[in-house]
Amino acid sequence: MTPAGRAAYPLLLSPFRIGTVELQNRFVFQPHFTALLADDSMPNDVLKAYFMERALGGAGLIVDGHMTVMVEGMMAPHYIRAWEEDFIPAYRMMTDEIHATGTKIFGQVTHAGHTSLTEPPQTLWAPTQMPEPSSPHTTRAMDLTDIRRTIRGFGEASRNVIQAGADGIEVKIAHDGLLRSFASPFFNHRTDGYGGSFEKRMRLPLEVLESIRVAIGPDHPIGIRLCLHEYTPFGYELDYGLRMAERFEQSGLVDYFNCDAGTFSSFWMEIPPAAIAQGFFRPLNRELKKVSSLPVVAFGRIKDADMAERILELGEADLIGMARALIADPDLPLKLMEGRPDQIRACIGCNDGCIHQVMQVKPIRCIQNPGAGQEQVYSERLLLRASQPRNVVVIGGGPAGLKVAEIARRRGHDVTLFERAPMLGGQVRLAARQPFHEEVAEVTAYLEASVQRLGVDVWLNAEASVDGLMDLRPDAIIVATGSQPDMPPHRRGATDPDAGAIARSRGLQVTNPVPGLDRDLVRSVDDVLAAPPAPATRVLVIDAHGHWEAAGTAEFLADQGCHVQVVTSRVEVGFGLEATNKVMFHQRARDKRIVLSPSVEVLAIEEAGVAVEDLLSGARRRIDGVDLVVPVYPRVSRDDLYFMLLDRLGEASDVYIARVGDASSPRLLQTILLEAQHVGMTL
Amino acid sequence: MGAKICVCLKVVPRAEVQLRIEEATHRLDRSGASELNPADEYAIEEALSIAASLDAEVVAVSMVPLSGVETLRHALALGVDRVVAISDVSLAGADMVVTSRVLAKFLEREAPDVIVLGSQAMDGRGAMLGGAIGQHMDLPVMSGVRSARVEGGRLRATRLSADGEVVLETTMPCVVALSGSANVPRYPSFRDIVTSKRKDISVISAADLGLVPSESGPAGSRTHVIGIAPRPVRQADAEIFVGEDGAAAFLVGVLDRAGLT
Amino acid sequence: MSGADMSGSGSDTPLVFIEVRRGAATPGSLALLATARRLAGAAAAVVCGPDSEHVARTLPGYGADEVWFADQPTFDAELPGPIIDAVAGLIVARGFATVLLETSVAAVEIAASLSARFDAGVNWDLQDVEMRDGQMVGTRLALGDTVVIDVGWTGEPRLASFRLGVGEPVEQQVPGSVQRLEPSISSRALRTTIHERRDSTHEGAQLVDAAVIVAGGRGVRDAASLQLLEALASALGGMVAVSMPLVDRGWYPVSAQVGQTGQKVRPRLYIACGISGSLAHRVGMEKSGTIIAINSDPSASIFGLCDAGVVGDLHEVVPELTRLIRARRAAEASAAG
Repeated sequence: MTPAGRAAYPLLLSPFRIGTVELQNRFVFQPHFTALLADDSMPNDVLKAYFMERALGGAGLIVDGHMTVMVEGMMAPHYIRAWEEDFIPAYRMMTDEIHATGTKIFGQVTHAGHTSLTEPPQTLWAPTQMPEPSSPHTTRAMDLTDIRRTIRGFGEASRNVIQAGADGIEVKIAHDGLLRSFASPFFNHRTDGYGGSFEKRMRLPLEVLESIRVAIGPDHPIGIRLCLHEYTPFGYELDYGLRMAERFEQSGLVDYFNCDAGTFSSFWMEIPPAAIAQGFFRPLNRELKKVSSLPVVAFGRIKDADMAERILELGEADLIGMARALIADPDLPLKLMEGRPDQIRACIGCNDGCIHQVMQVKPIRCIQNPGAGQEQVYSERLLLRASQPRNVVVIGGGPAGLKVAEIARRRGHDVTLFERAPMLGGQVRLAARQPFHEEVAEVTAYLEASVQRLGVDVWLNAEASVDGLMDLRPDAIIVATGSQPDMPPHRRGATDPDAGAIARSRGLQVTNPVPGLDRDLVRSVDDVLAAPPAPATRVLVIDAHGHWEAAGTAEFLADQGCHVQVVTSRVEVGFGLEATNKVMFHQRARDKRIVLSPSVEVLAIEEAGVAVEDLLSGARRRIDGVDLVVPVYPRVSRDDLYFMLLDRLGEASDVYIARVGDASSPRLLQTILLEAQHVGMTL
Repeated sequence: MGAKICVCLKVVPRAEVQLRIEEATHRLDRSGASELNPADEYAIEEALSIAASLDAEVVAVSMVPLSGVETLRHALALGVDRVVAISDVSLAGADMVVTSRVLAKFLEREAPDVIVLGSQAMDGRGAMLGGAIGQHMDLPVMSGVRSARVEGGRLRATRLSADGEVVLETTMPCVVALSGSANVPRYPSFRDIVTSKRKDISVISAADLGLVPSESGPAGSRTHVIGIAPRPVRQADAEIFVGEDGAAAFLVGVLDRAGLT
Repeated sequence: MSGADMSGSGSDTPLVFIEVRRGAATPGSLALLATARRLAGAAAAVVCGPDSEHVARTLPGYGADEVWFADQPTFDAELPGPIIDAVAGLIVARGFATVLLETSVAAVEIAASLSARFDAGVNWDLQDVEMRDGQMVGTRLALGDTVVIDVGWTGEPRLASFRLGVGEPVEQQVPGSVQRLEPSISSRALRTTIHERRDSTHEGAQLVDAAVIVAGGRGVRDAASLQLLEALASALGGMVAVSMPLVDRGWYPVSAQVGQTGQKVRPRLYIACGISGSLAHRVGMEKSGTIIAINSDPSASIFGLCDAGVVGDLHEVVPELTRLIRARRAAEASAAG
């Protein structure tokens, strides 16, 4: 049968024209910083592989967000110095390859202005000397020479970008950078020709657009990534954003709008995490579309193809912007075209791999897609069929075991997977119970569907034994048996309290030394997530881990009606959370009356309370009136089966035995899935 | 000779596999990963529990392409004593008449005391096959059954009726076709899974059953596919009511028109 | 072989098997009388059971030209065996070349048995039949109702079994003859007896069997609000299902989960309350007959999938709907009583 793809997504998969540029479909890979370039700022194979992955996946348009217009406008060295011509030959090779796939590419030109990712920052340029409110660093008020250089810089950079093979130019007047600060009444207090009235605030952006048009000629489209709403108490809102759009459109210099929102002071709205509803920004797109006759690119937590199709159907936008959805699954457009929407690996809005990395100017990564940012090593396009199919047995159906099974099976191995629970998913199922954390379940939902579709022989409720495994005559045994909370055995929960006994007896695991963990008022995090305590229970959560395991559980318990306090010896609860998530968690903790007590070290768990030391004052005291203590320390591996297999088979065995995931070392999901993919690729 | 229960199984593409019909043959593409028809797990469970009361052997049979034979191993793990696959290229595309005739031929040889079939969700294929097999073998048939047990040498079966339940009774041998989910299928133990991986599944052909091509081949089929076309996608022509006031009355109207009230 | 066994010349008039439920012909089988008239300009009908004479006399009102009924004590809706013998005898005696049935549990067994007895083709789960170039062609949906398949028959009689609820009865009075059948019943048919009848609720009923499912998703405010859905399900004689987030919140057991990682269901009626319609959920329910969505978000993708929808707060709409359905049931009960 003909694939149902185009019939099911008639608008999303239909071509579209921006000015002279014909796009094969409505997918726009949104501009974003990747930190994939080296300090030399030159285009490299890493970035090329990153973009090619999305081009091969069928994106209609890639907008490259790495083009800076002058040296004072570089947020980080890992942007392209587009005002110089040195990058053109290497970039041209990349655009040629991208064009060969049918995908188009625009360059987004930007000046960092009052914002930076480097610390200490470059000289921050601004209309008026004042710091961005989220930053301690103030700015340099630009003089007319600076302004003229800036205008020229945009023009020269754009000309170079077009010469390097880009099909169009996008100007960033968005959540960061110079041009929005000129347009913004909050940042621009000038009284010369570049401030003092709406028209004057628009002047620099308009002169920049003019300079670009003159530099690149009439044949290439120019668009604006436009912040429509700053989402700060002091900034502008949608009405002002729309007024800007109208002014830009009137100028006749613009061919499309790419929607945007948020600022550095509301950075969680720039790249909204899972706590912001999918499609949250649709009203912004819709309102812009109402006032503008230009093509509009929709933005913001659009990951579901059905929602995307609906946005187009309802006329809310003409194109669908996706960054994270295509980072997580570069083949999303292709899978729709081929009628395989069920095989899409969805972005879970965690921001742990993408934003968390690049905000620290580290190369972009993705939990869902271990190949993101390292396509040359881990792209799924590089999966080789195994020269000899082997009998691979995987023990454990959590994320690690599922990922190994998926990759091994795709490579042609015979894979049998045993899971002792009646369902797959492992700890991810518990994690997904935490508020605003449901989407993490899409990690294992994707993997479950994959292993089933690929024909992995999956057995549930089956607790593997060494003897039985030997009888299966496997070539490889992958132990992915997970981990458990670091608690005294009998407080761990109902299932096999003795897990880890072999490792402990050999000095390979130790028990948590905090006194009192064996008391009745202590319950493990796995336990309370599976069976929450009664409302009004007074709970103390110990956050010695810094991630969702403590923070999300605290919020889960608060939602159950418990009175929750979280203590941590570090300077903040949730110290390891990604920044957008951390801010929003702290906002919610305040609203839900969760007491956060940083810089407090737990010394011992006692009867109805805990003994603590206040690390700032050195004072020791007791926290009283505690019904329940939920300690979150780094977990311990459940690795008994691994050691039993080693003991049985000895060093010289032909059977390959590996432990992956938490059974190897308890870690965050991102590292585990990468490790599992690596093991699967090397079997 | 002890008692014997036969259970008829079907191998189907796994739910996660996107189904596809081959354009040339009008047949379902079975090259993807397959599984036991989920409803057949109930049939196996029911067969095992009837067998336990009779100390009977349980034999599973399936008409299945060679590529799907391994999938039947699941039945061995669940505790079926013996699995027979009837696998023959001439059987590809067999319709219900042919399928029931082939299975009946095999079942006549085995001469079981009870023949159990699972249902297949909505299309009632299990009941269809059960009815036809009963006719071929001149055995009584009970379909839509939720539970069955042997009582005083007769088979007693419970099924849902319009007003509640009805308990039917019949002589053995007989055919029992189950409703969707008659029981709680067991999980095989790890040990049983391992053991099942080392058992043999016997594979026989239509000729082994003494069937000639006019009975078992395409010539035996009494139905055929004329053509296949994609169904127009469900259009977004839904009736949408906005607001709470009057919404319930609107929905009652919808249900009325659909004959669902 | 086919057809050759039959005495007399084949009749062009299709024979419709009429099912009886609660003392009346089912709408689905009445609709087949109209289908028969459309095919051949005439319709014959057969109805069996203790009160079948009464039902038989109503059938000319729906276009049945010839009606046979069998109301001997051996006939019972729960026992298809004697019915099979009666219908088979009628087919042989009158040479019917086409038999139309609903796809109910009993009718399936009847169709299958007739198929084996006459070596006749049976196509089931049909949406419709029509004559095309002198040949009867049936249409049915397959692959999750994504494709339409045209099917044909080789030989006679042609057995055509229709998906429940695809047609509407058409009232059209014809003169119509009504006759009692005196069929001979085989010993096989008499081997099955009714041991006991129990009026009971469907204990331990399973989601996959439910004809009506009321499903809750992320939009359900709290665990207690699921009671609203339970009340509606109970009023409609259905069951409650949930989407994955509610299972993960621990509000409902995983056995009630519909979706990619849960059950795949095909009820006649699926009411999605506060379910956005993510792909993962859709694969579990999109094959349902009628889909109704209640969601406060007008842009929820479920509205692109449903047959009817309400943009509104489920916590208000569902209780009101329950009340209306209960009122309707009460009115029916008092009218019947």
